[in-house]
Amino acid sequence: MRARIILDVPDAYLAARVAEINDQHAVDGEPFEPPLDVRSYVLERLRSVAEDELGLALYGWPFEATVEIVEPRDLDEPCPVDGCPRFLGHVGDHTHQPPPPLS
Amino acid sequence: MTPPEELHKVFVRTRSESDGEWFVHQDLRERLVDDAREKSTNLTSVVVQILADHFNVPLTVSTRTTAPSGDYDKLIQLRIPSSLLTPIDFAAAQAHHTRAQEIRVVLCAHYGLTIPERPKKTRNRRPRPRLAA
Repeated sequence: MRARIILDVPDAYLAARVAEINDQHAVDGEPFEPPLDVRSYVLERLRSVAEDELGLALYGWPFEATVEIVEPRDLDEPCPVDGCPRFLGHVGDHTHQPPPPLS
Repeated sequence: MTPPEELHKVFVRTRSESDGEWFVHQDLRERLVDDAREKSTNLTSVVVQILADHFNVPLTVSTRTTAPSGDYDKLIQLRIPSSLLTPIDFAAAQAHHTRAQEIRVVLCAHYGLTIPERPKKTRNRRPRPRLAA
């Protein structure tokens, strides 16, 4: 099973969560060197949802994912192309069509 | 001189972020914090030492002394050397666990704590429609 998931998450939120984890680790053990970054954080959250929450590994599906960080978009602003709410199926080229299947 | 062993970041969730359900016994972090305080070390070193002892892997862990809090209950963040990660992954595969689940099992067993059962979240079946006589 493969899925492409688009997370539209504000930069500030991600930065705050990553900082929280880095700060906490410095208290719990040794500071991360290099520090945890946004890509690793998102990957870890996806893994946790897949493994801990959904239990996919129990069914023999090892977790594999790649995280691509794209241009941040302001969720409060409507789509400049047709004014649609951006967080509802607004993907890629503003066609509101799902992205093509992964090859 | 041998190069230092590669360390892998491993994240062990102790509680669900979506529904707050515990993946481990609620007292686990407090027990780890108590041990770190007693041994004048840090929480992650306590965890790594427990895992190393369990899997019989000789390791030198960090002796940095910190004051971890028992309040942070979401996540245990570890840096585990390859030599320890290999037996953890092997045991996880044998038990059909994930790496994080294997670590949770070992830590809870070390303190004699139980792992809470996650409630099944299947939806209720719709009642079958009655066939007309």
